[in-house]
Amino acid sequence: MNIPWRLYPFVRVTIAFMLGILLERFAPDLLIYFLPLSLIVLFFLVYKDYFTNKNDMSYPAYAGVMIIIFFFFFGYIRSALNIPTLDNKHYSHFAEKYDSGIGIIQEIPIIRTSLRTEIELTHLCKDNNCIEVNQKAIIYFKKEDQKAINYKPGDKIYFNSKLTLVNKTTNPFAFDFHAYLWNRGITHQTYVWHNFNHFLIDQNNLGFLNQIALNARGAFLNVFNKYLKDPDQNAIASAMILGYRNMVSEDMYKAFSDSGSVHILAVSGMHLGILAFILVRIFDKIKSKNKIVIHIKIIAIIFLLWFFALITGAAPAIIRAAIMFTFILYGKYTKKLYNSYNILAFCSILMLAYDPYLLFQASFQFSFLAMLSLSYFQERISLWYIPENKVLAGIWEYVTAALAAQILVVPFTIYFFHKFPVYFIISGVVSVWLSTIALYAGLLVMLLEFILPSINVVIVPVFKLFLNLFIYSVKWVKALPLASIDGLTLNNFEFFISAVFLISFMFYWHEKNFKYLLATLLSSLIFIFSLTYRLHIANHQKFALVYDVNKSSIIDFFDGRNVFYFQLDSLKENQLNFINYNNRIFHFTKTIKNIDYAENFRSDRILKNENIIQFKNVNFAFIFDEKYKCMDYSKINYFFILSNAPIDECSKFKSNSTFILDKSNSIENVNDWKNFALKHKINFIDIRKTGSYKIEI
Amino acid sequence: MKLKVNPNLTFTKDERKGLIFIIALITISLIVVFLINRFDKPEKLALEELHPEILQKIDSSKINNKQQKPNDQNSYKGNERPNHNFRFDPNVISKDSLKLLNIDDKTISILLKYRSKGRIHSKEQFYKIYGMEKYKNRIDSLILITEKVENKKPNSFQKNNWDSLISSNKNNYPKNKSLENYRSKDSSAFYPNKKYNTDDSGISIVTIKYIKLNETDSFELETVKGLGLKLSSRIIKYRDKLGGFYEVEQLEEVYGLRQETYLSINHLMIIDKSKIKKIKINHADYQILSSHPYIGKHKATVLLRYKENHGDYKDIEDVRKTVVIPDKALEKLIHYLDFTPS
Repeated sequence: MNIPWRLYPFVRVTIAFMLGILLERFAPDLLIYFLPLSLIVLFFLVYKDYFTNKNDMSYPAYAGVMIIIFFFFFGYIRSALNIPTLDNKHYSHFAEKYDSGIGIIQEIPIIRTSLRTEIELTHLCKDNNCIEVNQKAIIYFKKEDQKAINYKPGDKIYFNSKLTLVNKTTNPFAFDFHAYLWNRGITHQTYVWHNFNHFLIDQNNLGFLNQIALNARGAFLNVFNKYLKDPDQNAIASAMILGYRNMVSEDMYKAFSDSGSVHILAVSGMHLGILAFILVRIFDKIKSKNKIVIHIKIIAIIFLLWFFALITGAAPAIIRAAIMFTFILYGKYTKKLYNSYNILAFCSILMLAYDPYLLFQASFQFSFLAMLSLSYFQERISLWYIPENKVLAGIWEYVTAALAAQILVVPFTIYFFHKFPVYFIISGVVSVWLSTIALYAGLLVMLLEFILPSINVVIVPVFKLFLNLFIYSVKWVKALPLASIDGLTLNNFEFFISAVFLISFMFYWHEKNFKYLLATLLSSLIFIFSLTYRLHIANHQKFALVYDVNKSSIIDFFDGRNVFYFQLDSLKENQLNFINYNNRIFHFTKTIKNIDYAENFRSDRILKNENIIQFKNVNFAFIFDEKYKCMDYSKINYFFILSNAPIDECSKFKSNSTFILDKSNSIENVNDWKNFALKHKINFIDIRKTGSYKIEI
Repeated sequence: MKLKVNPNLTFTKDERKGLIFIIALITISLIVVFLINRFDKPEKLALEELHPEILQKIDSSKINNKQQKPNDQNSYKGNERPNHNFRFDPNVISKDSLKLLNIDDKTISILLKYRSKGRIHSKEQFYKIYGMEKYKNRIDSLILITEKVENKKPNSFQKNNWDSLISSNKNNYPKNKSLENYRSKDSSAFYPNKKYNTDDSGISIVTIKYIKLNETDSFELETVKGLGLKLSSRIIKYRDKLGGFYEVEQLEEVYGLRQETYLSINHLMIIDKSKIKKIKINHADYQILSSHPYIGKHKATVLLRYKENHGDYKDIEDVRKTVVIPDKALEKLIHYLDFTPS
């Protein structure tokens, strides 16, 4: 294939660098080989380039391969050195011995079932002795804790509670919180359940720049608070313009994600692009060929962009955009040639060299894929139709951008979020256009408030109007029939195949070569085959699954695509999302029915009578109810022992049956049952040790 | 030697220079950071060196901790007990208060046994109690022994006087509570529930302060002999969980309240059933139901499920049909349920 790789030196080395990071994740023990090898390669490069005869014509070919190999090693080494616990001062070395600590709050507490925020630990203490530590941890407070809810980034607090390891989840397909935190360098968490166990020591402890950005954001948020009385308007404006998402309600957030416009809500590269566009327009009014003036112009624009990036919380997408625009603007004003793929690759190598684990973070992946997709496909799609009408041309540009940005992102959306926003083109045109105007108006309102507040009387109504229209458009798209297809799944293999499909499709488009079309078609065929096979398996699956839930019990009985579940306590929906939602959709669940403990029922293959469930030819019994003591359980294969059920000495158990004790039992109770089981030659499963447990039927 | 390599793999000289420069930059910064982290040993410091002002805050937070978590048995294990100092009379001090003084459980039980046989008249006598000697240095200054005032003890003449007093005020007292029974106990010690008013004739009249159990707070309860800081707040906590008491006997359900204590305090308590907060069972959600001591988590789940399938509960019989609640508990629960339809 004739991609002019010569033109993209950075793309080549970045791909090698990323592969190195990936390899480290799957084979972490190769550092001792790679370190000397990379040194030899580097020595060869430097020696050849600077100290030998320069007329060796074959040298560039060697060097090209060597450099790519070096970057592969380099990615590996960088990733291997990034393991957070390598640091002598990392708190994980001391978390066992110390039971309180001091740290700096990094973000505004997020309200979920409890309050959660990141804290940069500075010291761990016990009694009166403290030890210096570093790195971030997660801290939880009670939802009702009024003291904690008012913490701001930069607040130094003392907390009196022990750090505990974040456990790996054992539920199949569940969101891996452990890996998510590990990728952000976090290994421990702490729960502070009483408001007298933590207090503020000091304020404004962030770095100089961050503190300024934070104060600026506070001032701008106050402007919105002043003018926007409607909570939804205020929340959306704060999120969209200042990256402050705490006020956005869950319903609102869902509306945005279902309509495919969540990228507007999170301040992203698009916002920075819009800002850069208007800044360039303004600064281009100053016409001068003086080099100093031009440089001042560049510096001013870049400074403003970076300041905006800092204010909005400096997410990976924003940093990526800020680096990109820095180079693009520099290239534009100094009239140097630049290439967007090279700049994109250079950005990613800079960011990955700073933190290689970014490669595994969804925000980084989405940002780069969307950008890559946009720069590759938009140009090509826009050639399909060239409108003469100016209005049509404007609309066409938005359509092509929305379409182009989605192409490479789709498999990722389905893989991570299991849904697909159907009307992304509509929201990509209407909502993006409305939000752009709202964004300009909002920026103007913020600016004028500090220069000429009296003009805001005119601007604010316009701002409100477009904000309202924007919110309305999002809600409208969400309310359209079939706005969001939920419950989509891809397994790892299908994800890989869809990547093959997209890449071969890109190649085909580029070269119009038949073999790429063949690859495209073949990969889609494999994809469909894999999906059908999984569906076939799902239609005939029969198993029970005991989930690993803290202090509670959930048991799913999968009978084909129907799920019958037993649940001890009613857990909240967002908690369940982390436990069994993914697993159910991966098994193509069609209907979900609750097994009512107080009621008997029967379906095709499942029969429930009192505390006994018969599933095909396997019998289960629930043991937690005092009503069913002294029973004859000689035909039961599995016993679910739940919520600290007392030992039942007088019932008759079959030997070789199995006790399953989940986390709704205390450790002491589990031990009692274990001894009982050993005495009676009954098998024993402790969910605390084994994790979630599957019983094939 | 000539090597055939795709020209797309080569880098120009300028590109090579640039890349090597970037490599050098990243490598140097990496090495510096790595070395700093590797050889910079964490410093150990005392807390007051770090933030001298926070020690005070930590202390106050620890005291709060103990006040607000009276239920937490674990926090008083072994040597971790708080060390409170306050003046006390060994004849009246409660077990909980003794614990607050950081006296070990064994010595406390010996003291209580000793006290049940007779009064402690002097400090010397107090230290004769086995195990008490070792606390002498710390608590010596805190002991305050109030002597019995003999002439204040009601004699036979005064007894008649008493009875007339009772008959005149009978309606104010709870039924079935014999004041005789109460009077036979040691009433000499000072506590605010009983007030000795001595009139001119030298006859003392005892007025008893009754406690409205459904309206009181832990401070008032603490003034009752036998109820310490922990027990009284436990009672209040249990009451709040229940929604109120409907009979004094329910006090026996409070964790840690022994029968002797209960017998010595039950006559002091009055109950106003109208103050009971009832649960609207057809409106209540899982949180409300499960937090009620007579219901609990899994019964709450079953109750809610039953409602989902069968509609509103009309009376207690509907609740009985759910089977999960035993009849005994149901008899108690009936006082707390409100069957307003949803």
